[in-house]
Amino acid sequence: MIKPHTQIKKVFIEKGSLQYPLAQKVLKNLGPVPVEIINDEEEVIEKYNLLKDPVGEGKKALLLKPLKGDFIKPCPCTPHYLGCNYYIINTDLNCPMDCTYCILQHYLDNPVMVSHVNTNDLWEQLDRFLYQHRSRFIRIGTGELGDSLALDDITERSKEFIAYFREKTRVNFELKTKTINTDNILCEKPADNIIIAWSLNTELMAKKEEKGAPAVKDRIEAAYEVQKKGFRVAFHFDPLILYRGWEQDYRDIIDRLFSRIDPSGIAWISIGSLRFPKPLKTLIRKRFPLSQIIYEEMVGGKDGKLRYFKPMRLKLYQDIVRDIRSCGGKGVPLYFCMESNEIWRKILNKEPGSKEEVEAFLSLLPRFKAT
Amino acid sequence: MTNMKFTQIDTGTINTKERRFQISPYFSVDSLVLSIKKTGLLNPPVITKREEKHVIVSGWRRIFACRELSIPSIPVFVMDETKDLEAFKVPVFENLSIRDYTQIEKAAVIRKLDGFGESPENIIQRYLPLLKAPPTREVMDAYIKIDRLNENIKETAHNKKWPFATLELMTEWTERERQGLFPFVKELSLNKQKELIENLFEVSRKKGISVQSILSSGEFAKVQKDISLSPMQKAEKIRLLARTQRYPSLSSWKEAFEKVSENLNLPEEIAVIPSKFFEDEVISIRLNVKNKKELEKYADKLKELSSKKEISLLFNPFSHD
Ligand code: SF4
Repeated sequence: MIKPHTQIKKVFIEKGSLQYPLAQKVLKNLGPVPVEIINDEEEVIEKYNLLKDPVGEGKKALLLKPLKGDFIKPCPCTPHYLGCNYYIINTDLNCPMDCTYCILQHYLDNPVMVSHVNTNDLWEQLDRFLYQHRSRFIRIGTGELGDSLALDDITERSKEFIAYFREKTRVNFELKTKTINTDNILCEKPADNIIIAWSLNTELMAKKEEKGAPAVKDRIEAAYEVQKKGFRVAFHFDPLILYRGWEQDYRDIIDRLFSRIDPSGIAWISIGSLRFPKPLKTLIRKRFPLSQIIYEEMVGGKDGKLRYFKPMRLKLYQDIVRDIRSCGGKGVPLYFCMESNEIWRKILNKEPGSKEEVEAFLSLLPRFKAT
Repeated sequence: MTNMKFTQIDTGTINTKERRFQISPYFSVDSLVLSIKKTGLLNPPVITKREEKHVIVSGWRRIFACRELSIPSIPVFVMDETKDLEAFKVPVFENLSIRDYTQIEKAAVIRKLDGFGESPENIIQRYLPLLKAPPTREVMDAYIKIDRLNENIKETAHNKKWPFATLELMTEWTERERQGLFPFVKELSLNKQKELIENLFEVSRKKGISVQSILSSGEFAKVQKDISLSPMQKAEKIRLLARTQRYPSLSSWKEAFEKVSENLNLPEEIAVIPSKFFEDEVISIRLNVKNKKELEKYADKLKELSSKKEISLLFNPFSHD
């Protein structure tokens, strides 16, 4: 597997950003690549908008700049469906992999990967945020607007995050990835509240729809190593994708997962099915003309996004949950990402009612004791 | 600034076959004829010379209206500009200041600017924002493709004001596919046109067969051969068939729901309405009443209905299978 960062062919640096230690670290770790100093991000956006495939080209470039606003935001989830009160940390945006369904193609104005280098502000903001929320349990992670570990070889952020959160026992910190870039993590001492999570799919979908991402069996092997080291792990079967033969393919992956991973060390498994805002459909059609995923039966959900017709989702979830339970994951906490109360009730026999209840359910789970 | 000379010229000397600066050929002169008849030509067209002949830069409708009124000579501004790109900016900016362009006109503007040698950077960064379009290469390229569509499709798209997304989708079809579908599309209203184009495209891509193959098979072929149907009825049936093929589960769910509600023999004052795409489990019951007495009557009826076993089928029309 080629390290994802090796496809970075150009670095843009916003004027004044070189003073940050992280910018210097990234440049050092990247080795020789052309560097261009720019006045502001707009210049890069304009430049990439002139290209035929700005999204694809943007994945070969990295912009180093400070973030002027807040690093920490509540996960936007989606209107009219049940959220989980998760918080996201926007340190690095976008990623070098190129998944067909990736919402970031549509969501981010800037197609170039961005690494926010003002880590001093990040720690300050985190201190303040955790103090403000000191009376409650927090679930927080970096993998929403990018892959948590895709650039970890050059940013080495995982080490700093683990060191920072290790002592924050009222926080569950999650690094979410599709990569096998776990070298930095494997050098760290595990902590009970640090969770390393992998997005999983069938091997066929990974091959066809997750360009640049490792095979799923390799992700499971990486998770095995991390679990062996003593970390808690988690998995996201999201987005589940319908296609001819999905039943057996998902079962095979779930089987493989539980043949390698100790279920008692799985913090949670989330489940969600393919969904995206309508404009992404056009983008997918144009960027991935051979992909078939947009031609399944998807209709407008309560949030306006396209998602599988509900009876199809119910069948999909029923099968996945049954397979997880029967393959060894009987006691593993499961939750839905962006689904309705009805789905929770019909599939998991739970009706949380609010995102606070989902949060409580996920935060108060028994902790895995590293052996 | 280009030199302009105000003068009077013979309408017959204008070469109306030369359309290099024309943005839209889809216009009618009827209302303008009436206005010129009443008040004369108030706003002189702009012309220039190419190969010793007068060609129109802007004011096509005005010149055609004057010709229809057999006005022998008209006042014009003659532009002393040999560069096509510079001359073309006149109608582009003139129209921009008075109205919104349709997507077809935007496509013509972009393709002509490109053809006259305007740089892609300028088209993307200067003109696309003026045309209220996203300033990206993808959008520029899409407009150029849209302008290459056949005239009959462009005319319908212009008149019905098709949105960009529908036109962009059309560019991904083959010419045969487009022409195969066109007779049906043109019979429908804008929203139905959009729906038919999108659904047929997606069915064809999902099945990996051409739109013609779909249209010439099974129910689609039957509809087309049915001489008892008018062109509009055929178009409507084709639209519904395409929808059923694109959304087979949703369609059968809908059909089953309708059957269940039909079997309940509800009075016409009571209607059961599922949520959009059955996404919500809630079913709405609409009751139309004129007075208290009717309300009591239908409330009783509703109560009676709720005790029927079949009522639960409304919440899952397939649960008896
Ligand atoms: S790995 Fe995640 S962030 Fe990267 S392209 Fe895929 S979905 Fe997007």
